[in-house]
Amino acid sequence: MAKGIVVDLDGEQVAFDLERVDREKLYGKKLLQVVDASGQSCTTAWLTRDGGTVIPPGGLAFVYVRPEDLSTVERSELTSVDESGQPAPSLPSTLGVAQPAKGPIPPSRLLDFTIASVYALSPDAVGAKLLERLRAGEIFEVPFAYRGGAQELQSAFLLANDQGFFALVGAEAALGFIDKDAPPPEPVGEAEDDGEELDFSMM
Amino acid sequence: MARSLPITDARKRDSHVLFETDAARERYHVVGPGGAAVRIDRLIRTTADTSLEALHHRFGGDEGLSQALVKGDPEVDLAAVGRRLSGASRVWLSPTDGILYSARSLQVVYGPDGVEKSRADFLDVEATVVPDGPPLVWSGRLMAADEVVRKFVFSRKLRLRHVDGLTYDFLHEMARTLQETGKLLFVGAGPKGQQPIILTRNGSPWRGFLDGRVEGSAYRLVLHLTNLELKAPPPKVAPEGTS
Repeated sequence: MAKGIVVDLDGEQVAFDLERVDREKLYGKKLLQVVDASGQSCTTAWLTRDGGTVIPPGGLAFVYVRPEDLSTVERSELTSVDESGQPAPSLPSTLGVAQPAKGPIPPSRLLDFTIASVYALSPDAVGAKLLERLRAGEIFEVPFAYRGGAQELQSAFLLANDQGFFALVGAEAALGFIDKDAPPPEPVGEAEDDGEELDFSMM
Repeated sequence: MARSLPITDARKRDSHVLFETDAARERYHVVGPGGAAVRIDRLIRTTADTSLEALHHRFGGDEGLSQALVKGDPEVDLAAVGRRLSGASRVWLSPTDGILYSARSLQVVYGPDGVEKSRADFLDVEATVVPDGPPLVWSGRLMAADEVVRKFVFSRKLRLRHVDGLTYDFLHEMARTLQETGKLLFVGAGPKGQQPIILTRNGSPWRGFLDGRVEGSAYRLVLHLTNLELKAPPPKVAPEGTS
């Protein structure tokens, strides 16, 4: 069993087991499948520009190179930095380690975050105050990092509904207020990719 | 990157405004030693002619392939491996006929239990929010934020912004109206606002809730998008024959 979220509220700790919630588990999925004339499922591949070589799935290696001389850079030499060149903080995993609960926080705080993952929570304690307050409609925020390493610290928002307890994990969206004289946005261009392929069930 | 969309306000006036996505996902990027810029290159690792199936076919099965591997390196195409891939074309490969020149695309639907439910020819789904299409409708359906965050997961956000003085007034008024209600506005596409929001052809369908706040002359109008309800996943069913 993987480590779960441990929350400390006023000195009382509650541990939750996690189960990832995603669209596939709730709604199933839709996939694009390409078949040949005899109905056999096909795979994508790359054909080189000269038409002489076919590269099957898994036939490519992705390497980091220096643009000036195309020499390769080992992954162990790479670091993540922000726009100013400051390295991303190296954070330990928060799983299995008690995290202080902040809150109750207003729903607007949760709405300021873009949620990247959702977990259904199974608490290990029945009568804890935290659970009572969650059931009463309060929302709490705790620091969250699934794995350790260089990354942006995320927040997990703990809340309850008639389906149970949940943790919504995400990072704060960089979408602030706009004044009348705000600088114009980048030029209008092509659509940003949704990053999802043919995954349009639900509704 | 900002794009244009048409939207109506509470007085059923419509206008074209810009929307932009959350840039938070690109807050960090990767650099090499000393902060040097790096980029990703694609190198050829193996080719279809040296796949296990192709080698089996070429050497007549396991025995022949084994002997060929002892004698040489038939699994490595020395002329191709390590070459940088650029300007290549994406193709479909049939397991028996090689590159397809005519393909049939199917949409296969699986249920939450992983069982295939249907398969049919794939049909493109057009975007429902386009500059020359019907505007996003002010539905009038308001929901409290406390209720919304317990029902839906918002995994994408669009911020609306003005393009000139008139649209500034338009959006600022919209944000002020929503702030005064203290609620979020359900927003959909199509003439009656009942269709899902699809931003690109074959893109994901979303439901939207418009959130408006003002601070003096500044405003913030964010369309929170969701394609996931906040529900517990169904319990796993043990395969037959197990307990």
